[in-house]
Amino acid sequence: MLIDLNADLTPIKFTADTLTQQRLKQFDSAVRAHYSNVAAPTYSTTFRKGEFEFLDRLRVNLRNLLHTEQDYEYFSTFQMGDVPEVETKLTSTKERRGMVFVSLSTEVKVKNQLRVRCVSSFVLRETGKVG
Amino acid sequence: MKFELNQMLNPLSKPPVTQEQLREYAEASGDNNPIHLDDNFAHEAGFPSVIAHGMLSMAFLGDCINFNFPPELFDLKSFNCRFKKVTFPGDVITCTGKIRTVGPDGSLIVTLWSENQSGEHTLEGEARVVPRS
Repeated sequence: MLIDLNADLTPIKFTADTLTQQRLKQFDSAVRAHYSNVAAPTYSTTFRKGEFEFLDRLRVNLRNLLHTEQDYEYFSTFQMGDVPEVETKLTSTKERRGMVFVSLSTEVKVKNQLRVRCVSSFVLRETGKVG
Repeated sequence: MKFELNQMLNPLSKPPVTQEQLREYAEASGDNNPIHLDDNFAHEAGFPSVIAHGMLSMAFLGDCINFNFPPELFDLKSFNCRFKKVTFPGDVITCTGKIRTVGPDGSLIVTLWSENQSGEHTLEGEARVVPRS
């Protein structure tokens, strides 16, 4: 069994840490970013705590997990001092040819204003061996 | 700044990926999957060593977007990618792209990709950027 189909699928909500220059710099430094000063296009990956919790609820073996696609849709830009409210939902699971395809959607809002919507797609396969 | 159909973006080459960088990225992003940090775990998953976070590779591509379309001049509206090939420590990644469509308002849809030192595509994606008015 690659995932637990009886898992709790209630959306996961949490409040992320306040956005600070220091956090942006830490992210940019790890990326060896050429361009800085604003939240990087993929900065919202720091709000994936709900995704990891969902994968844990689904009893996913991380050895079997491959991140296959990532989408971002941007609605407004992050500002210093923002306190992001994050909600992650499981949007689909499909089984095909012994593999399971999982999609998770995360919305990040600040004061109820949508900043970004993120969709992460994964595939789970039995061996963990990747071609 | 004026862009034309099929115009190539300025490529952005990143320094070789290191295991130290993967630890830094894990801490900055909160993605502590041991497949990026623990060689033994990576071996059990079928890899010769730890692998880079896919999202680190996507961050490289995001840096390339900002490099070509500075945020003070452009708004990024969407950005997506497919992870095509795994990146290992030591790999040298170069990101680039091409203008796929130019809208009447100057908005651009850009095809993006990153490749390793062997010329293999590691990521392929697309972004939409709009000039700030």
